[in-house]
Amino acid sequence: MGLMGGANNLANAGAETFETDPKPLPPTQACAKGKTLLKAHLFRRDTNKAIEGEEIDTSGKAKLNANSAGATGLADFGTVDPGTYTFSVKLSQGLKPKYLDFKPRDAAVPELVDFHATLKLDPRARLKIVLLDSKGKEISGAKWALTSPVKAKGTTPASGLIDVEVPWDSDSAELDVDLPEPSERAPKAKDAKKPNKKDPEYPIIVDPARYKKPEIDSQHPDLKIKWTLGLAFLKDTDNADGWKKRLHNIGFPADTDPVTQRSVKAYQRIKDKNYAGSGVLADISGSLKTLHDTV
Amino acid sequence: MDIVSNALITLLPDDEKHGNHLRVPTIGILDLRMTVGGKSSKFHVQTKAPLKPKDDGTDDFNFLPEHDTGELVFEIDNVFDIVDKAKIEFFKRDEEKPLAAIDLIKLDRNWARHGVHKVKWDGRIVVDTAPLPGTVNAEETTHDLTGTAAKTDPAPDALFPDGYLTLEHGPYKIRMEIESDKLPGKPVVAWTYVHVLLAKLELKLGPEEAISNDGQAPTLDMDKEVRKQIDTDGFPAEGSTLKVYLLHNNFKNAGAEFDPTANFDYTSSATLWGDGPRIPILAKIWLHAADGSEIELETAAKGAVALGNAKFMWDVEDPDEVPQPEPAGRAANPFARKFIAKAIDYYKKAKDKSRAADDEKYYQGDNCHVDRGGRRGPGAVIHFPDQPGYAPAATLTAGQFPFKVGTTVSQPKHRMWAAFSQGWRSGKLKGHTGVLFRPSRMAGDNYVVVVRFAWDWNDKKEWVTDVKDKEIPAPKKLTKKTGVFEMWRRTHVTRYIRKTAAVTDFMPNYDQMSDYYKPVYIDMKKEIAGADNYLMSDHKVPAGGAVFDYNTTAKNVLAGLGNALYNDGTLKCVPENHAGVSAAFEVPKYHVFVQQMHAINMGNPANDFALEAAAQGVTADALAGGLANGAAIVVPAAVGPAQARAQRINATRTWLQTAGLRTPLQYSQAIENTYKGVAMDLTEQSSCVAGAGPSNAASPPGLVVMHYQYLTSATQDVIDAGGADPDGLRGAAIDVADRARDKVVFAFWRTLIPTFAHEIGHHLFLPHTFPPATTASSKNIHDSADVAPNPNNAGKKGPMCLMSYHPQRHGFCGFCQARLRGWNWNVGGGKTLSPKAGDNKKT
Repeated sequence: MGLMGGANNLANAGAETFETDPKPLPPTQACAKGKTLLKAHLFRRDTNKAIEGEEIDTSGKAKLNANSAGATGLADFGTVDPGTYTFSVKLSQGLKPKYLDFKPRDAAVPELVDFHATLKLDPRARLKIVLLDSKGKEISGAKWALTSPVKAKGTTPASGLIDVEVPWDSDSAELDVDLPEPSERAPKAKDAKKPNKKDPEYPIIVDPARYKKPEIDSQHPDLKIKWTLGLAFLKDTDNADGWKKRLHNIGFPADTDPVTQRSVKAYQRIKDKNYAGSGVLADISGSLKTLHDTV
Repeated sequence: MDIVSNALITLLPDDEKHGNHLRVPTIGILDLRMTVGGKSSKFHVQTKAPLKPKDDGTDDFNFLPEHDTGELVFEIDNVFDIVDKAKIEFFKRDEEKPLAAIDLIKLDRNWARHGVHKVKWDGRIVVDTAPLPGTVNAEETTHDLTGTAAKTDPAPDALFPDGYLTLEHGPYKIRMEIESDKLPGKPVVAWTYVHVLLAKLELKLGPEEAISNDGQAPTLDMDKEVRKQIDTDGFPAEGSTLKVYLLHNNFKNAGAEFDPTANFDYTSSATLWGDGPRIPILAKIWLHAADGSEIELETAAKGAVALGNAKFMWDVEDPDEVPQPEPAGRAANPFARKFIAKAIDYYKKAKDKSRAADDEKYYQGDNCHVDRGGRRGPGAVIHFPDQPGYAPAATLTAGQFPFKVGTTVSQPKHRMWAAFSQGWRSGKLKGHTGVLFRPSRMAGDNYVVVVRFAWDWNDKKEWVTDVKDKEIPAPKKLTKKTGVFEMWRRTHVTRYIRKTAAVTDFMPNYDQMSDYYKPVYIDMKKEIAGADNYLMSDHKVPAGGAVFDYNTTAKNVLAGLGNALYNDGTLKCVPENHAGVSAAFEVPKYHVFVQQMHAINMGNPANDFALEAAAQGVTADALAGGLANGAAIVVPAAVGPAQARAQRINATRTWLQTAGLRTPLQYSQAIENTYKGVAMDLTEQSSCVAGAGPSNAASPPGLVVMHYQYLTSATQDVIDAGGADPDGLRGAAIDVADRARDKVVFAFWRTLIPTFAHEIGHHLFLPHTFPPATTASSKNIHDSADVAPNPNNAGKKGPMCLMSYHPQRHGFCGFCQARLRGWNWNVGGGKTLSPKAGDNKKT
């Protein structure tokens, strides 16, 4: 369960439109010149921002091509014959890391219209998480498995990084982590030397078994962790709530104000060796963002 | 899955550097130990904790609470400041519930602060309600618990009465537990072990005030005397032996008390000494400081609180009896040795098939068994009676035993003859515990008192000291033993009156006489003050009154005898001066007697002997002295005075011969036989107890000896003439009119050491053997094997016991020895001792 709203909060998110998409241009309108005209506009889907310089091809009724350009990402195919055209976008090398491949789409172009096709590219989104231990050191060798929104698994490298591509509009994720065994574990207590009943020793030989309160035989950190992750765009988390979430992510609870204040002080002590920290969240937002958000 | 967590992850598709960091908060304890002066306890943490505990410190670390101030050091991993609960608990073995706990969060959240904590601590359990934030110094936090009140507990069985860890419960597990609400159900624990150790014990005599007398015998004064004697002679250190003397001026007061059925020697002793004297014994306690030094709690400014309610088990050992050595110059009495050896071999292993249910509920040994009135065996009263004790005080309460002892401390489940005590942590007897030891009154019993710190318990929560075994496996330093308390009786000889200065002083022989009593553990003590060692001429009756008129008394008893020879003057000296001779009575010398007989009893002229002696050219005395044992006087043929005189003298001779009075020896024996009874009357009427010599006070408790040299002066005459003592009445244990249970008299007519001891034996309730006793039943109360041919009885075997008249009699027979020890030899008429030695051994 996400801690924030998820995809619905992603600004300007929208589907591709063709005839019905009024923006930035109506998909069809009567052609004043009495011809059949064909145009395409290329945007990124998450922001509806125009994408320039990419080649858009058609097939079907006719094989055409034009590059997107300008503030509207316009690729102008000029006068065409009515019919069905299949649009495809050939991503340049520079954009291939940023966007998913465009899946070709068909559009029926009527006669004597000025036809505008709006094409949207899905941005690539990566879930990047660095696992830290209690001392702030990256955890190497942790086995992880992402079960949603996509399935992936792996083992953290020395950087402690988990890096998985996810749909840009995912609003939650499930991550299971098996932390590696600590390099040192307290050994099981050795059996006490048996007392010599005929010649008892003094001081009495300590026999742990005679202390009857059962001892817990494991200690934190727990090795298996299941994280339910809420996903959000960064710009929506640059606020007090977001700082608290970040504190929380790195182990400092921040659910109530007193707790948050205590955690901020603890953060200031650990991060800055400030033993008289202010406990004011705003005082650590900068370093917190850097610490938390940068991999 | 161990943990489920939530997180918000931000995406930034255009920024390759953008990512998130995730961390599960953790808490931990990285160190926990007690340190004092460079020594440290060992840190333990729960198995699988993500760290390897530091490998320094030891599990046998000890310190002395209150005395040693050290540091309780711990390190908490609380980076995220999420620890919400933190406590330190103190555990003992075999208990799941903590003995005490300190809630650190109540003191202040700082106690759970991330980092190292150093707590100044002296072992106190503090009241954790008042804030105690400590001092933050960067990564380190310091605390001081020594300024916070210790949590005292006035309950009698308080775990920590003064609010400090104590000797009683160690080794302690000091356990720290922390927990976060953010990590519910995931507490973190660590612990360390510390000891409070006993260093040593020392046993000593307790103060007089500690004698608590419940009104039962013996009296408090008697208890005090015993204590004083031990104090004077020195409390016995392990390996040594102390004779404990119980004053037994307890004497026969009537002939009936010889009666075997009376059993009076036992019952009267029981009345006197009851369950035995009350001897306060203290154990002084040292505990170990952390630096290994031994701290004497009595004098140390701090540390006695650590004694707490520690328990000490008191026990007795019953060493095998080693027979008293025979006094120098005296051969051992093998019969008595054997008799006693058999008699004390009586259920020595504390097992008795006839009373198997009680097996091993009493201690092993050879002390007098309950069947014979002793304190060892089924149902025996233990030697360490319960004491309620009282609160420590600067001044002791006279008559109250200070320490709590007995069942209210801990009830033995197996070693039923042991008792537990607790000590004082303050007051005059700070650093001590103790018991009121009550050995039996039986002479010859011996004890080693043992105190052991009850340092451990078994899986049934029973003290490991509480076992039936004779030997208890215990660390040497936790055990302290006394030397041997060897029980003796002490009887006083307190007055010695000699008839005249010519009576041979017996006192140079006294020690040889008292030697007879040593094998039976009786100290026959000469306790005669100078003013009680005097001559009859100084004797005053009543005490402080006029000088005793011995002559009149002697004359009166002789007159009361009804003897014609005395009454007619034949046996009277002129003047009659009994006081002037060393014998009890003055009688005429033999030749005077002969002449008085001739004149008074035969009615002849008094000058017959003078005239006849002149005629023969001898003295009259010589003629009279040899008359009866010589030839008859030649009677002149011519009738006349000489003839008549000779006939008269020969008639007297004949009378003397017929009467068996031929010689001074026969004369002395005859008179002694005649005067025996009145000799005792004379002693009885002399008021030797109630009267007094120079002391002008009645005799102190004890035996009074009236020493004459023979019954009559005639015996002395025989001896003065070069003859031997014909023997006769040697002594008599007389029941004088002024006697008391603790004051008796015996008359002593012949200076013989065995006689002196023999007569005292009578006053200690011992009758004669058979013979001279005339009742055969007397055989049943002497060792039947202790016999030998008696030349005085036609060579027939006769008893050799000192209570016989056997010429080679030795010391007391075994049966008498058992009686002299105080044994109950005749329980309700059912004898617990047989005259046959072998019958007395039981296994």
